[in-house]
Amino acid sequence: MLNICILVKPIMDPASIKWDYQSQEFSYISNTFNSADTQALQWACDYKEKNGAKITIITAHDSEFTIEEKRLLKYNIDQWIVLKQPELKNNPGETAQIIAKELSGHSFDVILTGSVSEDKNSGMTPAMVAELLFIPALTNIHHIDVKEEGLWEVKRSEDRGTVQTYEVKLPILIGVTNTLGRKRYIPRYRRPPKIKKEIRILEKANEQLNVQVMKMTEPRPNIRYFDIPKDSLSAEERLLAIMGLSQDKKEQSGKKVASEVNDKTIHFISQKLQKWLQEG
Amino acid sequence: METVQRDTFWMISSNYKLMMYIFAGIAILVFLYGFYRRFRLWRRGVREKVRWNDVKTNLSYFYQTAIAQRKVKKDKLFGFMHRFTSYGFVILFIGTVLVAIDYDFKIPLLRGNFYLIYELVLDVFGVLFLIGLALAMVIRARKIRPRLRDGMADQAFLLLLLLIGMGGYIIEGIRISEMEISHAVWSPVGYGLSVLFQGHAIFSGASYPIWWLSHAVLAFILVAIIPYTKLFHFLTAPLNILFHPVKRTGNVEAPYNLEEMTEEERYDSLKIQGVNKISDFTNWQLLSTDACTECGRCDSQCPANNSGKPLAPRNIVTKIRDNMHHDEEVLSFISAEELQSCTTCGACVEACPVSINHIDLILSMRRGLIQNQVIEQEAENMLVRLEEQNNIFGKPWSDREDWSKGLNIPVLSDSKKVSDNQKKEGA
Repeated sequence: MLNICILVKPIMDPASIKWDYQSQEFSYISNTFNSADTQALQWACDYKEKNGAKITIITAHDSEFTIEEKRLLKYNIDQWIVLKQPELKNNPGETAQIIAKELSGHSFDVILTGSVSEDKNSGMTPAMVAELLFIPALTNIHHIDVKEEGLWEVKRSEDRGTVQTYEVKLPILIGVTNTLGRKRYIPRYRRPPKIKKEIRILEKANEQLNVQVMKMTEPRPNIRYFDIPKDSLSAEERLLAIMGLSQDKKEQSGKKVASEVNDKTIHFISQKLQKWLQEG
Repeated sequence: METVQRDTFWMISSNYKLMMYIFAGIAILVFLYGFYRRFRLWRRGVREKVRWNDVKTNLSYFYQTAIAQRKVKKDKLFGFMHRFTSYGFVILFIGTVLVAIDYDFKIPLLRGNFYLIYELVLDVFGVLFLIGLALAMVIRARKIRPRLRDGMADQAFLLLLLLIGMGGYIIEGIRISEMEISHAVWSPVGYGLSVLFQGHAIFSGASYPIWWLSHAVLAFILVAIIPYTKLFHFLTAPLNILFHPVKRTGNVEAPYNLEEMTEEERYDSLKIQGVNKISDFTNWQLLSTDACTECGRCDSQCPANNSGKPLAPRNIVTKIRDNMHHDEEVLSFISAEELQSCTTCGACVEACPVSINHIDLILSMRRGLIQNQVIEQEAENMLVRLEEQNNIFGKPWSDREDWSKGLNIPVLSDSKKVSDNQKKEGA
């Protein structure tokens, strides 16, 4: 019976999050789990149902981050190890360190995770974990065939429709894509299996890695200075268009868009404003 | 002066009487065992209490459905047939019960004018009963109603009832013919037959005990087979209509109210379990399937069935009924496609003359399907999107207010909400 470990990253849902210009802060924040990681988890659960397996989830997150546990507890998992560390989000690379440290105390046949996370999109943690554990890693895998328990065939899509097929021996870390399989709906009120949950509160990391910290910041406005307002627009939309502030991403094209205010953009904005005032 | 009363065992020897009571005892025991067999199966289901408010509400519905038979009447020919046979059957059954009270319990009921009226009423309803049966046989033989399943058993049941009805008239005719009863005109059919029977050895007093015994045996066979065949609806249909919790057409209810439950209760409650195997149905749901007469009205009205989808509401009901004793997984005899084809329009429930709620059965099983992750892919994608972004399209939930952009819709700002709340708290 396979012993499968899934690394699941708690994230703020990047699809919903928005910058609120009025309050100057992020709004519509909802905490979720990285979609590709849950795909890997779903694949493991499907495998377990057919062949039997032990599934352990490891999540690592900042102590202040709250996670919606039921989103993971509904899966047919056996164990959940939660690693909490203060200011983890400010220490890139630290996540891989604490996960690798935790994993070194266990013996898993395979580690599955998403290749990249939806929020940072760097794909750094899986590779680092594999490196720290001295096991091979393959990422961007969209198909897994279990030939034997210790011998898998995995496929990776490359550019222009090329598919690379690898035969891999376990143990290995496999990073998967969102297209690994069918995303299943798990009824909210299905009785969850008995899950052994372990929470480890870790101390704040002392050593800071020399890596540039990425932060989410206010999005730059798109100033469109060549557009002439369309007649069909409402008064408010026309004014926004004249001022060069538009939400319509389709209209962004080439040199018409600038993110800085300069003499050139001011000139065109004033021209358009005058046109609009004349029309009025 | 001749006493007007019923001579129950005229020309019947004590041996024949004994045989009749033995047959009656056996028939009643077989009937009771058959009933107990089904009752035990209903009890396997999740217990759903009878609420007296429901029974009160059901009383007028019972009158309309079981007595006035308004749903059956919608099909005129079938309406006549069913009312003739059912009214006739019930009146003849009551007549037989009165005979038992009169003779076996020694309570003198069938005497004087009451007896004369009793004879007349039974004769008239006996004729209606036979006309209804003849109509039913013709409808089936000539396949006038394609929705009916024409099995040999269906015709055999009708033939059995016909023979019992005719046997009653024959023994009455022979008795009148031999006894020369002065009040015979109160039994017009029996009197007419007595005239015809004059001089025929086969309908003489000597052959009377044979006719009498054969009539009794056929009647006891009928009693014995009722709980083992679809004739069980004689009993279960009125029970279902009267006592089943009110679930009318168009009223699709969840078996729980999420708003009234705490999060913990939602996880713990057994009520929100869908149906995965037979014993997950409620006991009233199971009983309702035994009320099915297989008339096929549900199939004929079902838009899914009529458009070639793999759903036949009658099959759903009969499959549950026929597999009740195994307590198997529902999916072993009902396919997911059948359940998913239902549009919950309620046409089947509206058409059903015995108040079976097909939608309630189907939705219970659908809940089970979802719990087992047996779900059509597009529907599943929709549920996943709903779970992730709180809308069926999977659009970011932060875009929800986008529709109001540029429309000058006043929006409560957070500060306004806070101050309002403070005012309320202050008040």
